[in-house]
Amino acid sequence: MGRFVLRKPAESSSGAILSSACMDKEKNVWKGTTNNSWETCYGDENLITLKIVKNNPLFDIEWVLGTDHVATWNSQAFRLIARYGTNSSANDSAWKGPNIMDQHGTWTDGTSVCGRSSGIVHLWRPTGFNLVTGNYIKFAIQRWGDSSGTNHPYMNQSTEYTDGTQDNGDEWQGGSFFLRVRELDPAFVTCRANQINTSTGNA
Amino acid sequence: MGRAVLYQPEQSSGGNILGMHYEQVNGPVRSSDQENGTWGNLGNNADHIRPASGSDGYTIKEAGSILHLRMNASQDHGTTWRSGTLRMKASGDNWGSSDVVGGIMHNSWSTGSHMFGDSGCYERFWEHGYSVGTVVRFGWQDSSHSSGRTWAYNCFNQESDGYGGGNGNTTFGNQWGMGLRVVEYKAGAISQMSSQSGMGPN
Repeated sequence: MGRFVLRKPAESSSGAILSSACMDKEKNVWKGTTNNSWETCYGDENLITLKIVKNNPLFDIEWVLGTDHVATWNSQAFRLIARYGTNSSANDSAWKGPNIMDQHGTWTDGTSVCGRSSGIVHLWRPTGFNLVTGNYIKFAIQRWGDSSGTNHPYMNQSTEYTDGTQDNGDEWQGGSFFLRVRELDPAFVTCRANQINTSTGNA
Repeated sequence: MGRAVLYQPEQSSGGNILGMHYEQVNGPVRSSDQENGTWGNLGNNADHIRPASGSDGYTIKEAGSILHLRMNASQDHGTTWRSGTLRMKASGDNWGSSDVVGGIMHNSWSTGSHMFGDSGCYERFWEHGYSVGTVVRFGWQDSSHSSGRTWAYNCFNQESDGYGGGNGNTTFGNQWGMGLRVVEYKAGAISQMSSQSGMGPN
């Protein structure tokens, strides 16, 4: 797990970006196993943890996710989950789901096809959490396997003419499981019609 | 090859980011219903993401600055094939004229059996050329193929896009899966831009 903040300290006193953390799974691959339920990608419930710089924080969230192909169809959705606390474990709250989603479908009619890649960008302000300076919040990504798409290709791998449900080695892996979360200074931020996501429902 | 924007030392106490602007939507968004190469503004539930006179925009803070745009969208499956494209337009004169500043192609297809949805993401740096104080407004348009078109965006996985005229479905509830981020960088933060990094009117 890496961390960088524009070469600045993790907690800056000025500028639009107050803190930032990113997670890149490098060449590690993972594939889901479940259908019709949410499953935490990589089994990793702590992709990113941030220490809150300002009360009532405002977060910029972005990710890039990739899924390899499969010999028959596969359809899946992804969502962000978060929990928070007063110490670095950030485990005081239950997991929350702020309704930030993405999706992939891979399908072929009897031949090999490549996988899918996508990304998001999002502005989230969890006002209901009542977060204050010094609290911690952590983030993970969950995958929803479609109820009928029983094939589960690897994520963070993109191969062609090879079974995407197999680990096909470094040459085909990396670059497609990345998450970055940044706390922003609201003084630098505008949002059209104030359509800021404040969802804090249970995951 | 220039420095990467995000890896250079901080040059001023305020940083290299002059401002940030977001446009995003919650819940399914109806297509423009335009087809076969004709563009139209997105329909139902697109009030805050389509081109609109007088909408909130981003105000340019510094002359010669660079805008970094990142945008994403999702379309869900339907019972027949889906082919279409979304584009992002920008205007510095309240839609008297406009530029196309980004595009996302969506395609999903089947031979009558299982289908899937798709998502896309695009980002670029834009030499906008606007003067300080200009309000730059943004908005999505789409066009789909009449033989197999997209009916709604911002639906996911098992939800479907409400084939045949609906406004999209919400098995997972109203989700956030369609957005735009605009970041204005000081010109000095970026050492090189392509001569094609501006875009002509459209």
